[in-house]
This record gives sequence, C-alpha cells and structure tokens, in this order.
Amino acid sequence: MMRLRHFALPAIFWLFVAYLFIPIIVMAAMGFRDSNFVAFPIQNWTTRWYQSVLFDKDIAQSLWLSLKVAVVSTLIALAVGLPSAFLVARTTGIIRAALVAIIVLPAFLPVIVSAIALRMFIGQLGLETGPTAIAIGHAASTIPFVVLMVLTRLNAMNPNIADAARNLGADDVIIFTRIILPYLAPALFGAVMFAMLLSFEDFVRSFFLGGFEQTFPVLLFSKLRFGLDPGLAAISTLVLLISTAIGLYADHFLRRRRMKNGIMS
Amino acid sequence: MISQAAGQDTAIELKGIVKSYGTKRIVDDVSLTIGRGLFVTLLGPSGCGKSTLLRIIVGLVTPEAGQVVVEGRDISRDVPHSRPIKMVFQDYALFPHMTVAENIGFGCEMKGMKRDAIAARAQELLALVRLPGLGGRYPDELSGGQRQRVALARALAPNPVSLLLDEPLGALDLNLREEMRRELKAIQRRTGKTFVFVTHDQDEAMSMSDLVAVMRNGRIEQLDAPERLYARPANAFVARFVGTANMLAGRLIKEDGQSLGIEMDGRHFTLPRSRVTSQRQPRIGEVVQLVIRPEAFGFGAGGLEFSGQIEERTFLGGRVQLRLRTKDGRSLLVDAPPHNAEGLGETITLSLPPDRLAILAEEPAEA
Repeated sequence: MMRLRHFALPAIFWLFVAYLFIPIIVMAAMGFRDSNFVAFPIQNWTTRWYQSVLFDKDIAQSLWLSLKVAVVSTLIALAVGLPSAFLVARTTGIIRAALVAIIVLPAFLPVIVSAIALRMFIGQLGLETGPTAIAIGHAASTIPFVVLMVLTRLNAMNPNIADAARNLGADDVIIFTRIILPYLAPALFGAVMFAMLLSFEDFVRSFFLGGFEQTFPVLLFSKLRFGLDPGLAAISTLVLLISTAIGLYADHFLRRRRMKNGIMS
Repeated sequence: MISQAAGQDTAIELKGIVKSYGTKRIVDDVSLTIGRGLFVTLLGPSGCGKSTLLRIIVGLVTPEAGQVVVEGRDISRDVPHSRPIKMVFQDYALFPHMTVAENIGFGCEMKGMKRDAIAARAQELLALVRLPGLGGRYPDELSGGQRQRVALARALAPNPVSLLLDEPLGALDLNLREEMRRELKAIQRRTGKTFVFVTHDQDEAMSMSDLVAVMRNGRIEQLDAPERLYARPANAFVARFVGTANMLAGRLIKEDGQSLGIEMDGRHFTLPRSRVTSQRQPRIGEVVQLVIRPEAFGFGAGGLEFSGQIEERTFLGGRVQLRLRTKDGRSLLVDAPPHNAEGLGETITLSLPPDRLAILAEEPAEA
C-alpha cells in the first residue's frame, strides 16, 4: 500500500501529463523544422514557418471571420439564453425539470446530426450558407451553456436582495440593472468566454453551414488535404498560445474581487 | 380588538389586516396601533404570521383585506418602492457587489440625493453603527455582527418614518446577540425612530421593547409592556410563551365581591378578584388556571402553602431551579437562591403571596 502511494500514483499521474502534453510540445517544435515534411529528428531549425503564418492573408482572413462569427453567435446566445434562464428560474418542480431538459437536450445531440439538421433548416428559411448561417448554428449549440451558467448563479441569489432593493426605493428596471445584472456578471462573463471559445473551435457546423469564406478550423482542414507540413504545426501552436493566454486572462479577471461579487454599476 | 396607542401620536396603524395562503389564514384580522418613537416587538412562534405582517407593512406582500396607515396616510395602495418605511432583513440581504458605503447609500440614491450628500450620509450612518472606516469593504469581508450593523445603517440612511426588523439577531451567536440587543436599543433611543421588531425569542422581546405583541395563528393574543405581559398574561398561551409558568388548575366555587373562592386538590382558598388577568371573568363552577412564576414562591410556611419533594435540582449560577412533586402529584418549578442547600428527596414547604399569581378563566376549545 505504501509503495502504491509513493510510486504508482505519482507514476500514473506523470504518465497522464506526458500523454497530454508531449504531442503538443512535439507539434510546437515541428513548426521550427527546416523542411517541407513533418518528421523527427529535427536537424535544421528555422523560424520561416512561423513567419509565413503571421503574414499569411488567408489565415488572417479566416481568423477575422471566426472572430466575427464568435461575437455574433455569442450575442445571439445571450439574447436567447438570458431571458430563458429567467423564465426557468421562476418555475419550480416538474415544470422546471422539463424546461431544463428541453434546453439542455441540444447539447447532447451528435454534432454531425445537429449540423445536418441546421443545414436543412436554414435552406427552408431561405438563408444562404455563409457567416450568418454559421453564427446562427453556433448560437444554437451554445445557448444551453449560457442558460445553465446563468441559472446556476440565479439559483444562488438571495431572493431578499431584490426585496431589499425594492424596499429602499428601486423599481423593477433599477432592480434589474443595478442588482440582478451586476450579480449575474461573473456568470455572464463565463458564458461569453465559453460561447466564444465553442464557436471559435467548432468545425463541423462551420463546415456544413459555411459558404465561400472559411472559418479558421475549416481553413486548417482544407490545408490538411495538401498534407501535414510544419506550417500547419506553426499555425496550431500560435492558436494554442493565443487561446491559452485568453483563458488565463479570463481566469485572472474572474478572480478579481469585483468580478467575484458581480460587476459594479 | 387589542389596540393601544402610546407615545405622543401614531406612527403606524394596521386595520383589519387579513392574509391567507391557500386555506390557511396567516394573518387573521390584525389591528394594531404603534405609537411614534416606540420600540414594539411582535413575538410569537414561527409561522404565527409576524414576518408576513412586516412584509405587508412595507408592501412586499399584498393583504386580502385591511389598511396600512402611516402617519395618518393610508398607504395600502402605494407601490412598495415608494413607502416611507424601511426594513432590516433576517439574512441582512446586503448587495454583495456593492461596497458597504454603496449599500448604505442605495436608499438615498433612490431618493435622488446628490452624490456628496449620499457619501456624507453614509459616513454619518457608519459612525452611528460604530463601523467608521469600513465604507470601502465588501459585505463578504465583514463579520456577521458587522453585516448586521451595515443592514441597520442601510435601512436608516433614507431617514424612514419607521424601521422594521425581521429577526435580525437570529444568525448571530449568543454573546454577540446580547451585545447587539443593547446596541439596537441604544440606536433606537438615539434616532428616536419607531422600531417594529419581530422575534420568536422572548428574552429579546422582553429586554428591548416598550410594547410586546404576542402573536399566535395570525392573531395578536396580547399587547402590553413586558412587565405587564409577564405579571398579567391574558391567556395560557401568553403565560407559557413569555417566561416559565406553573399552571395549576382549580375550580371557582365562590364569588364574593372582590374575592374569589377557589378549590384545588381538596383545599379551599380565597384570592383577590384583581388577580384575574384574562379578559373574561370566570363563572362559578368553572375551571380556572392559576399562573405562578417559579421565582414567586417564598420559602417557609404561611399564606397559600405548597409542600413537595425535590425531584430535580439544576444549578444555574444565579439561582437553583428545583422541580417539586406535591402530595397531590402536581409538578412545580421553583427558583431558589443559589445558596439553597436542600438536596434531592427532601421535602420543603413553600408559600405563595396571593398577589404574585394570575388567574385565568377557562378558554374556549381551540379551533
């Protein structure tokens, strides 16, 4: 038992860490390989792959499109998710369970099925495939998370807070803008971050709903068809660094005291 | 109906308030007049309707019938956010995303006061509740007692006609609670505001209030000053709820002007009619309850005598509480001085001055 605790458990943990991180480290290193092919060992090092990625117009355009789609889809998700969360918060018992189930269900659909369904639906609406269709599709997949995150925070809210504000002279509008929204701020911030990230990394829906312009994951996929080259490794590494930086910043932001309690007015 | 005006004039008047949830009447035709500048407590077990009554006064709950009159104006139809009465909530309900100063200033802000005036008012209130310098903190950086003070300051800041407090000391530990009692009372005296305090704790009610309204099942059973409530309970519920009471059943067998002849366990004695504290006078042949407080007994023979064996002896510091069993099988709680040396099993004789008990007429069977 002692041996298990002293050797086996740490060994398993570090194997797990290696399994997670070694492929990423290899990928990052591969971007520095001075060759047109991906292979080991790396004999000659170069930064040209990274340089070429930074100045690649296609990549810049696809990143810009992905960002726009992420922002629009997140706004849609908030516009639909926030009122839905308020609606659910007002119900109790079996009605509430049923509403939550209906809202959460889409998150469990196989992505490919939901993508095909969305594609057909958008055709019926007379919408062209393209950025708008992608944004609508992404919103459909992120709304469940927005609702759940807001609902969790709403459930934790002391109902007397709203009554106290009313007693002190606040009407419904002021209670909403000065008390409830700031209280929800951490959940809203988390939901926005999560929805943006989900949208940014989505491939299947973007692929099915996309038109001529390609989002970033779709562009990577089309590049893959010409084979793995160190350039692909370089792009992936850069995206990884950027998203990690955003994630760490978001975490840091959430830990700051005002965000913990809700944003100040 | 029980109503009593005290103080110079009236701060709050409730007329025939009724509120039900489903078929249960939570507040059952309550009328109450609260004099300006008084500390009035609604005392009762949980579920007696006392908190609901507070919420009705501030408009957070709408009654089915009745009127709320504040300083002579009927505010029953006013929206809650325009009523001139502020409330301290049981769990304080501080705004977690605002600093202490912003919490305190919120009510003034809603009144449209200028920023400077709000800040000055917040400082003033922080000084009043003895938390100077804590204006920049957030509620979760405060102790329970400090939050309590901030909640009080927040409710006082907009200068309300009256302050309602819904069991504000319930969440504090015992020492802090006693300290806060004194402080609440001091703040009430200093501000001269009418306080309506809700609690299920009789010690709290007795120690702070000018008047106590004992509530049960949505009704006010008795409204009186604490001393009177204790000495002259209007019924058995009040007698038991306020303080400890020995309840001895006897029978009224003779009525003679100012005295009543009572038979109990085969003994006969005469008590003054002035000791009847129930609203209804007892009739001949009826059962009456004698209410005797544990500290009312004297030691030694004379007058109305009881003797019994000591069954239980509890040392309580300032006194010793004895449980006696009389020959007739009655159980009596008796407070003795702390130096009392009588041991278990010993028989002692007690006397009871007739002016230290209360006589209650039989009550109709409860619904």
